[in-house]
Amino acid sequence: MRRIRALSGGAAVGAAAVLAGHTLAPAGPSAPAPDATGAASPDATRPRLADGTATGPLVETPYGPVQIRVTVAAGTITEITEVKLPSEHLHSRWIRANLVPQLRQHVLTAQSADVDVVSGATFTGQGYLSSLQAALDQLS
Amino acid sequence: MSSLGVVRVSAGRRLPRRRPRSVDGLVTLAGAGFGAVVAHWAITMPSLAGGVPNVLLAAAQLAGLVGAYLALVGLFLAARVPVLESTVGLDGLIAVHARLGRWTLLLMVTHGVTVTLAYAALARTGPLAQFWSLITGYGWVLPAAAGLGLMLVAGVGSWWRARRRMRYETWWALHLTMYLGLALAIPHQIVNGAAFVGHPAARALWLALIGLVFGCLLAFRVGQPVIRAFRHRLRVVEVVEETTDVVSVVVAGSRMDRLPIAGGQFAHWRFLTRGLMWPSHPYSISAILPDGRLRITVRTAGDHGRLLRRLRRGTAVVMEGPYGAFTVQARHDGCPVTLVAAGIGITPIRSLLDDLPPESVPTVLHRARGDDDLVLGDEIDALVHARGGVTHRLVGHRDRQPISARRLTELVPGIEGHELYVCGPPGFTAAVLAAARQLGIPRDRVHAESFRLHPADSALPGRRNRFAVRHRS
Repeated sequence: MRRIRALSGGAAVGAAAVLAGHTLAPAGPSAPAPDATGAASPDATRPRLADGTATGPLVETPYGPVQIRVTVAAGTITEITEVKLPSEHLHSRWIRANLVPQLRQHVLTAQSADVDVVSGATFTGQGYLSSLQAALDQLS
Repeated sequence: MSSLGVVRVSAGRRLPRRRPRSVDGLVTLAGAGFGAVVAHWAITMPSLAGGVPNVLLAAAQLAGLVGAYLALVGLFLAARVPVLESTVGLDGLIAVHARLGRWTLLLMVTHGVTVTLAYAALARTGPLAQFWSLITGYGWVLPAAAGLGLMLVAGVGSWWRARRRMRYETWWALHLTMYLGLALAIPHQIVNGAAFVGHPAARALWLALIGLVFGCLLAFRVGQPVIRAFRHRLRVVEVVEETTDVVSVVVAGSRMDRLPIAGGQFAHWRFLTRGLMWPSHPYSISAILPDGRLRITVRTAGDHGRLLRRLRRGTAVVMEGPYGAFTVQARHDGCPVTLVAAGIGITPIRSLLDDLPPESVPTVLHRARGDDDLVLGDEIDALVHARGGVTHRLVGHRDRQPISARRLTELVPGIEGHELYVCGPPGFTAAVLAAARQLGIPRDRVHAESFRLHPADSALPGRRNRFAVRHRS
């Protein structure tokens, strides 16, 4: 019984330590600062985007490189193309199929790269948004 | 009968250290690791809002991580780390190892199935097509699937029904493929696993854990026996015929004061001569002599017995061990001691008697089928009488000499306040343990050693070891 207590006590401490560590110092590169208000609607103060198509740089993520192309028409983001997405990992395949469409939708709704990264695609999502941001910068 | 006479614990001998607090600490660490693994999974798992495929994938990741963690803990137990072994006993370690092994295999199979179903649901393909695309399309998944197959085969081989039908050597070789299976399964986790890709700290800790476990295995399963073989250079000095089917072998070595050893322990022995070299055999140590000589007493018939009887003086001996927590260190101070043995189970009791403190007045119950089976009977009597204790020889068929709570109290009044050591065949041990429970003897004052007759049926990870473990604190 004493050992069962030791085992469960240890489990609680171990779990608490990992969760605390994660809260205090999230793993991986720091996320683009999520904008609490900016995600909902286009920001009026944001510089107007020039029409055209721009391709962002290759951004390295732990799963592989990400590259995004964006098309702007009449000042509105109308099309986002994933030129390159990681595919080597099982998890990447998952992200491509499940989470990238979600992320794309968020960006189209917010008309900005200032959106929260979708849960489950932290690294790929961050790479996605920074390549996208660079592409948008070319057009502003 | 041998004429070793009454022997006292020599002053220079090292005893194996029994450290329940350290074991508690290790258990706490194991629990902390488990909690950390589950918490890390909770952080890295896909969002469950994604529907059925995400739920399946999250379950698959949990099963894979926990299964791998339990496999590492199980391997750590198999390393027989001295602090752990001398406190819990090899049979206790093997029992937990076997139980963890069953969980590991179950979780790993669950992982494989759910991961396939998750991706099949995502890609809207059939599970078989998806399985094929997983093992062909992703570098380390094929070796992992092969590794799981190997582990399953080895796992079935350890199932007692299968193992019973196998030679020890066959089982041992089969069980070794577990290492290969695990080695094939590890890379896909680190290379493809969502818990490790992009989490360098988690990956480093995981690799450190794997390194620690394999380091302990190398150090204590390979390094220590080899070092001890060269340090002590054991050799046969005497072979004594005890009865028609029982033989004692006395071995001597150098620097024996550096070998931690206690009465009641056993070791796995190899005699470097034809037929006795491989595999090793677990024999109890029936006496530790003051000059460092060790005596083992073995009941054995057939070819093996003939080989032991024909051992020549000077034959080199290699042992793994000594192992076992069936020692006086497990005893509570001030408790009178009753030792109960059946048949050849008397051998560890014999060496344990030497280690009892001088003021201890032991009682020995020695059960045997016939007078011929009272192995070492005269020695036991001499030792017990020298201390003012009593020996009860219970000779006859087990129907005439049943072991029950009532019989135990008749023979040993006040036994419910005693420290109990039990060694004998599984049925006998179970009967004594049941009687002890009935008498209300606290579990931590009852010590049972699984009886080892021959490697073919020794260290069975099955019921009787579990039974013994349950009765140890």
